[in-house]
Amino acid sequence: MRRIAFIGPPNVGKSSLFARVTGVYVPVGNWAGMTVSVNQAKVLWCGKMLEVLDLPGFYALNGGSEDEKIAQQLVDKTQADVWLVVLDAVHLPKQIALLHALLMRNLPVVVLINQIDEAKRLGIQIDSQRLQTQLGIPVLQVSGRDGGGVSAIQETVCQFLVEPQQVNQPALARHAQWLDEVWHAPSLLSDSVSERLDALFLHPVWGLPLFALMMVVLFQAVFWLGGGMQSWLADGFDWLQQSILQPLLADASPWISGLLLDGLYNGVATLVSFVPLVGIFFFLLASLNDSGYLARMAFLADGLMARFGLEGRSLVLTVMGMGCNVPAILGARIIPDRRIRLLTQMMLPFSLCSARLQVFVFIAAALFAPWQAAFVVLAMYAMSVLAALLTAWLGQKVMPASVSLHPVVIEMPAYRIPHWSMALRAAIHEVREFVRRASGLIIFGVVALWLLLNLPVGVTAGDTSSYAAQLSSWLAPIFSPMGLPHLYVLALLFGLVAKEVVLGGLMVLLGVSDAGLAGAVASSISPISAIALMVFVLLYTPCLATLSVLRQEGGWRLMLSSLAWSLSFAWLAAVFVYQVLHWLFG
Amino acid sequence: MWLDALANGVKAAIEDIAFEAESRLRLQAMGLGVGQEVSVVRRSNGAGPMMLRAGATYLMVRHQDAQKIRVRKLP
Repeated sequence: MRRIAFIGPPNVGKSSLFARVTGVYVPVGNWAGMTVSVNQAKVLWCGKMLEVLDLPGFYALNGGSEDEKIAQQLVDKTQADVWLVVLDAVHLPKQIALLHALLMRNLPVVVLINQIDEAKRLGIQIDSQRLQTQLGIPVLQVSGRDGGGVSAIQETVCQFLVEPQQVNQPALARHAQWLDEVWHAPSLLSDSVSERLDALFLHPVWGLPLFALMMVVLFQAVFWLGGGMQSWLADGFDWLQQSILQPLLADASPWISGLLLDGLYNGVATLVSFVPLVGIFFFLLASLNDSGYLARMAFLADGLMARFGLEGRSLVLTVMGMGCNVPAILGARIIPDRRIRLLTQMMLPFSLCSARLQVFVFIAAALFAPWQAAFVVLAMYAMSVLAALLTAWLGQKVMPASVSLHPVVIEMPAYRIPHWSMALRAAIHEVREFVRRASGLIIFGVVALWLLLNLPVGVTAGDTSSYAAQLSSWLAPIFSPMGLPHLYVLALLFGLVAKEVVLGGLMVLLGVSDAGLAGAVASSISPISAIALMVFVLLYTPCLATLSVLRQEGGWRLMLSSLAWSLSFAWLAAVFVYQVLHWLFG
Repeated sequence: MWLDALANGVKAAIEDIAFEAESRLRLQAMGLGVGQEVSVVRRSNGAGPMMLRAGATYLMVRHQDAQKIRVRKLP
């Protein structure tokens, strides 16, 4: 099969052109290394089936970053019949070297000058006809955003396949002059709107409250919208279980129906419960990025975050991660520097998410007076921020310098009204990827935990003879320095699935209903143990979904490092808090 | 002079970049190559970064990184 491949620097709109041409959507972003994996599609053009590839964006052909290495290998290995080199009309001068490097390899190239609409808006004139004459290969002006010029791509490619054109050899030597007569920008771009907005958003005084306001809005949106949709979904799953699945399995043995419903079905429900959070998160992140304001947030928070080996966007992700850690870890992909990205991903599981908040609000209300309870929950937030920053700070000390230490340069693109349909497609794409890649580990984990609680056959969940109970009694001595009885250790095991399940676990184990739980908790542990329990729940093992996206993003190594660190940190912190409080008030 | 000492609004050309080859290539691709005309648009308070204009592009650069980029003021 003949093959055509999109190639070019990051941020030039390769992926949106790929989507226009093939109808296969990949997320569009302003960020470097967005297309980390190679996207593939097939099209029927000029009566032939063609394979279309979308390669990762890269700046240079001889750079050494991870993405660039992948891109170089791909260029060397991909036997494309046509290379569609996508360049950005606005930033053509700094991208022409890449085109030159590709042409020097004697590749069959068609040049696509994208974002021509943006260039026109800025008053940049491009004489693509002249460039085409100079180079002797096709040069097209296109706009992935509004689709302008895209229909000509098919025609040009078909023609090119029949009679490939080679670049004019003499032109290669004169590449420094390629643009002289072709690209004209007004000396001062009419970019006054962006400048005026920057004067407000990056104002030394007003910039910060606006930043804080935006963070609150983002957090609330993930928290309330995502959380609300999550509970509708949970209701839907419950209804399906009670009114359809349970009657269907009425004749099955309790163990089999338990495995299917509380294990497998619950695993699927757990997976699906993250879908609205991931979707809303990425809709917001893509809109924020597209608007240009994310780069300003990175600018405003950079001074603070640089001290911890992070960058400004790490802070934005941490705050959005207080809605849910899972999409925040996925979203860390916007950080191009591998070192900063890994540190951010190590830090994010300590963001106090909505699931943990449910547990804290409940336990605090059960054991403390209202004013104390509010203070306890606030203290948990403070501790979460401290734990996240400590993790990043330690991480940058521990991480070998061989994991890139590049200068941090972030492009601050012109402001624009975000394209909601692009943001929606980004969200759908991320949800699909999440479901495809995280489902295995989440469903497996939920089923495995159910088996642990319900094996050997014949025990009821939490029964002292179950494997889980045996495991937790072995573990109990480890938890006694924080004053937690054996039963709570078992509830913490439940919490591996999702932290709010700790409460459901306690209901099962204490043998009480929703209404009776507060009283049962209050009478079974002391307030000091309750605080130690909350500290432990805050810090210990990220939930299954978080673990599975850590593995997805950084491999087993990142996942296991995060797991080992959070468990030991949680234990140390909880024991410390318990012992100190016990000494002071006990 | 080094880029971090350049006053706001003053035009300068990049003369030398004291980073290793890979970082230099990245900077060049982002629009900060030797010979490029740059100016500082604004600085943030305290230890924060600075915003540069390089041609038609606006960029955020950290002070410590700007200390490794040598520039010459343009008339």
